[in-house]
Amino acid sequence: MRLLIVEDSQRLRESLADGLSKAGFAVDSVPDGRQGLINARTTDYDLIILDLMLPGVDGLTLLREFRQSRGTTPVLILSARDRVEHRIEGLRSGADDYLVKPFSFDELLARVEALSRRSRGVSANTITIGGVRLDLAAKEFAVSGAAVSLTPREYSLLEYLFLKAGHTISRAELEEHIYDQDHQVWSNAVDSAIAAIRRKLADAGIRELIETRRGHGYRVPAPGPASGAPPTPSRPASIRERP
Amino acid sequence: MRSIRRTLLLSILVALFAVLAIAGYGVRASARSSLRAQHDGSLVRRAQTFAGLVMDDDDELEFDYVGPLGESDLGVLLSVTADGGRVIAQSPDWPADLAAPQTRSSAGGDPVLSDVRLSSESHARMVSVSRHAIEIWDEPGQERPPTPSQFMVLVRVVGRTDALERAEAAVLSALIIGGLIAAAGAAVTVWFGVTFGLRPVRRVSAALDRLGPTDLASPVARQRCPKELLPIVAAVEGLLKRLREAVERERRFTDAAAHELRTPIAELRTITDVAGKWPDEPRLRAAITEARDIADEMEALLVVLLDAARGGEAYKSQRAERITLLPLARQLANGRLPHLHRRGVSFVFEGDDHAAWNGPKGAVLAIVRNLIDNAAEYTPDGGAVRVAAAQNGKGVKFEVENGPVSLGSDEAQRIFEPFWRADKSRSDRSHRGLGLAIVASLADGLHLRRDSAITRERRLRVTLTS
Repeated sequence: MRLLIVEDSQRLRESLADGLSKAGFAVDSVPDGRQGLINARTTDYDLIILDLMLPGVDGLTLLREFRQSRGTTPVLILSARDRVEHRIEGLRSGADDYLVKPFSFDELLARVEALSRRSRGVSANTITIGGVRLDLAAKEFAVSGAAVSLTPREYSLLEYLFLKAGHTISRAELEEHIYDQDHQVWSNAVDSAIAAIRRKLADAGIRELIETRRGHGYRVPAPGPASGAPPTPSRPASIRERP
Repeated sequence: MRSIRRTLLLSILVALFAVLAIAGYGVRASARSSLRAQHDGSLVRRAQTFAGLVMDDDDELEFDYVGPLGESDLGVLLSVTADGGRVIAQSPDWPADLAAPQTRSSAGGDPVLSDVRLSSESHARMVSVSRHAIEIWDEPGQERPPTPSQFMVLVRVVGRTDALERAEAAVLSALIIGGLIAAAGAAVTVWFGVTFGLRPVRRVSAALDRLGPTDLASPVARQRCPKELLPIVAAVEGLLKRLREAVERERRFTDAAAHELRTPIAELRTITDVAGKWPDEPRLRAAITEARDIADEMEALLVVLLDAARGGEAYKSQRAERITLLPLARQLANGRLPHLHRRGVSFVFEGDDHAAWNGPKGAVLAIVRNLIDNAAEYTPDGGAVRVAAAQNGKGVKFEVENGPVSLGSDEAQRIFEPFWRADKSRSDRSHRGLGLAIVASLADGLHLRRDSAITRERRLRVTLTS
């Protein structure tokens, strides 16, 4: 999941980016509203964390312009303005959530996760597909109750595929959502990560969960009803193609 | 507690009762005097009539009256005596102990009136008239006008005053009852009048009572206000306006102060939260360093904030001295020249080099330094700061002007507010927006008039006048 932080306080920006990166998000951060608007328009983020009092373009203007240009990315406002009218104005301008400074990082993290989940149409905290259970709160995959040990990058990749279960996700989209702008992405980085995930799942007894659709990307099958993930018509999980 | 209503009621009622009492007393005295004068006049006329009936017939005095002389017949008591006390005529019930008056009227003189007591309950007035008897000519054919004889007679007429006293008592009763009724009626009228007249005051008072800390709109409709109350209502409206402005300033100040504090607290909390969640050593070390820096920043903010709040208090112990303003400003500007040269900002000094303020040196220095720093900082590269000092009547005017600036006139009025900054984002943490608030606080302490305005050339002019 890739996030954008628009915050003029360098310390806050850097510590947020650090914490969210450690939590498994790919994070881009910018110090002013103008750059924030450019980033928001040119990159498909999963969530934008937005300060209101920004140099250049203020947060509310950024938000309104972003929504006017049909930007649908969820936006969480992070502001020192704590009045009810400020919150109402922020939410009416197109924000999806509003958090007043100072805040608990855990609360911010929980809100970021909830917003990301909801933006993908996922209501529950767990998704089970093909015997693999994803716990979004614990950030953990498990097979038959035993956790599958994944690196943060591998986890992010598989989580994204689970959240978009039933859809074929291109390598470029995966790269965009898994890596931040400062990360040097090697041409086979996604393929290598997929291979590593497959190997670890196979060790846990799960085979052929991730399909490779040649020339299109990767896909995990849509889960059954009541599994927590959005229902999507999909091809049978047994079909496997080499990209 | 003093009450206008009570004072009005008491003073009007006391005055009313006093007027009624004096008027009543006057009426009673006038009536009494009139009744007594009529009574006395009647007695005098009778006495003179009776005196005219005493005849001298060949040196024999006779009372020429036929009929009983009792009090019940005449209505009065009568006594006619000749010189030497010989009684010529007398009412049979004439009191024996009734002495003749000490002062006897001379013959043909004014009658003498006196109060006498007939019994323990009965009072009377006595009229004494002395005059010559009328001589009688009884020769036939001789017609002569009546002439006084050589004999003097004393005619005394005594008339009881019981009826007079009853009439006086009736007048007094009428006055007392009428006065009491009039007083009661007047009291009720006054009470209603005062109560009704003070209704607008109570209305204004109730309206002011309804004012709450969050509702400071003027509660009094001027068109319903009597003109006597308009100055008070206008003063209250002025006070409320100033109060609203003060509350609004406080609100903005609290907002700004909260924002200034929220950001470093948010930084501190996030840094420590993240370091606590993933406590590897480099991150912990960095968090500690950052936390120290944030604490230093907050301490610096606190110091400046206290300076702004305390204003001249810090310099109260310093003695006032005469400080020439332009030389001080020149000296402070020179200290910043290297930095200003790089930006191409220049200073222009104008006016009277001897213009000076009297005050604690620290306070004046802080005022001039903050004005110079603020002007230099917010002058665009290549711009100029104008500093002027001049005698202004009995005071001294000190002006600092810089620009061009992008402030509006409304914003220029707010530059003295704590934490106010033209940059709404407040991203620049090297400035807190407290410099001019400190100037305002110090200037108020030194009783300097302060003003800020945007000139036609879009320059910000700050003026302080002693």
